[in-house]
Amino acid sequence: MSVTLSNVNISIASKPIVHNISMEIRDGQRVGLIGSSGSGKSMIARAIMGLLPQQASLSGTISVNGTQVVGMSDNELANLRGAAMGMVFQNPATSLNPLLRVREQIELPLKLHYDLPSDDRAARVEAMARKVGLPAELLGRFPHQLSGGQQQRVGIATALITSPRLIIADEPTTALDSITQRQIIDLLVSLVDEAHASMLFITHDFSVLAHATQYCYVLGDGEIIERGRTAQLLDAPQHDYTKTLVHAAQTLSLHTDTRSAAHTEGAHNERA
Amino acid sequence: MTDATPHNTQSKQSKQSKQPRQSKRPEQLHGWRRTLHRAGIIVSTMWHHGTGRFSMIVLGIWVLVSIVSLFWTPQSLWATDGYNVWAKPSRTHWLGTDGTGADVFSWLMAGSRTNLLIVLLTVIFALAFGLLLVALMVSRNTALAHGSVVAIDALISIPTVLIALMLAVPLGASILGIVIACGFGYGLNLARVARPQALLAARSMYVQSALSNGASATRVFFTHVLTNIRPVVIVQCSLCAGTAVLAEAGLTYLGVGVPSGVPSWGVSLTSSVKFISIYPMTVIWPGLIVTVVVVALNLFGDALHDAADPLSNPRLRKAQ
Repeated sequence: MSVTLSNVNISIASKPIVHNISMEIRDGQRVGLIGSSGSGKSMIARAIMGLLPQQASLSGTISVNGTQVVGMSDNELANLRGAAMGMVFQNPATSLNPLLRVREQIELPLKLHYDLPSDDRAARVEAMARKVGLPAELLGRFPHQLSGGQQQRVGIATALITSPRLIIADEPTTALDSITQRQIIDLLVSLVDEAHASMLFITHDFSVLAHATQYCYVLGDGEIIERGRTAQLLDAPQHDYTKTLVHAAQTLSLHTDTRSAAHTEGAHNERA
Repeated sequence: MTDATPHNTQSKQSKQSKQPRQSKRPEQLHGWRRTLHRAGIIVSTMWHHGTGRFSMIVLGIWVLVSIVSLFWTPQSLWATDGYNVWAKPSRTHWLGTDGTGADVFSWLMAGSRTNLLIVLLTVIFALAFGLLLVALMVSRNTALAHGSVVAIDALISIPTVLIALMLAVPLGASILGIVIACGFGYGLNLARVARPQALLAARSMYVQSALSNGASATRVFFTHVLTNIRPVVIVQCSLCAGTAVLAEAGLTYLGVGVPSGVPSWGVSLTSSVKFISIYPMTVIWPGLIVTVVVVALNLFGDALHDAADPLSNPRLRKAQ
């Protein structure tokens, strides 16, 4: 599914958040959107989904597979969301209803978009759970009984169960530890590629983006300041802001590597 | 001793494995079977707590007596004995007779169905009205949400008795008047109490997640908001039910409740209260019933709140 944003401006209570953004996600492409906190990344994701806050105003055009999303009615948007577009949220602990079991959370999009018998629905939920690496016994549990990584797997299963053609992942690994981050990114990438879907991956961390995306937009103060292939941006960033982001990612990776190396060395010494 | 031998253990295991599984495991249940399974756990949990058991027994007797009174009472309601007024309890009149010589027990039995009807209708009315107001207050339309909050704050200052008195003008003394007045008052109260919890749910990330999956505003309200305000709603409904019983007695005493001639606990109290110093038992019986039922309703609400909340009931949490 292709998505095109042209001259998009978003403001909340007359305060500009995003200025004159133009970007494109091609069919089957994994695109990254990187920027520091408060740069307007999530607002762009919400604008594509048609989920901007009531007080936000939006101008410009957003087309999904050639269909204009801006100005669509609530019903038309609801039909598009979940079926054609899925979203994975930042904090899995808060994006799952605490009083609904995992099974009920995952089957919700199926209930909304497909008229299936309950047995079929249950079978699909179980198949999806297997796909994202959730043991079947966890389906009857509540979100607070799962770990952060398991909760995010539930979020991914919920977003992907209807096989949408576009996945928007809004900082899906921010609330997770580094090992789980890697697992979740690998899972997301493999599922998106397997379904030949497109993905918009939002993050503030270049080290995460390098694994997840092929193309990347850098957002600073609500404007696109640099774009290009993710590998190129990591190797030779042009803008000072991008250089800072890349440097921060490299420093963090170095620290992580040094710490894990020291940990491994310590473990070896203990064994000896 | 022999039980511990490997041979016996093995044979037991093989016997067990040969037996076909008769019932489905809880995690395989779907739809109404799963709902029924969870309802069974809730009832069982309530039964295992003293207050829950007491309330279930009292309310069970109330419902049973109401049903039985439709077909049978010890004496006819309209059979009066002028030579046997204010009689003490006897084999013929189990709780004695009132000032007209009518059987007190039969009138209390028949009154239980009127009170049950009033309580059910009031709770349904208050629930529907209160939830409608909650939906308006958490709506994404800011003007509608703010307007409904102001309207509720203004309307809640009107006492229920005053509403009942105003309704008595067009309706006269009637059950409908009690239901509308109490339902209106408790609906407003339910909405005001449930609003903070509902607002938290409506503005939560899981509602954003549901919207991103294509859920409509109605679906979000019933699946996510209502699920999260359920504990508050259960307690408010039980309080509403208890107060409806008291309001029936109070409003009937004022002459704007159940009309005379229709059996109800309020009518039984009103008809004998003037003679309390001479014949106290005819007042004590309906008074005692009202007190016990109101206590049971309040305890039922608390017990249901604890048993139906999966976060506080481990049995419900384990059930699939």
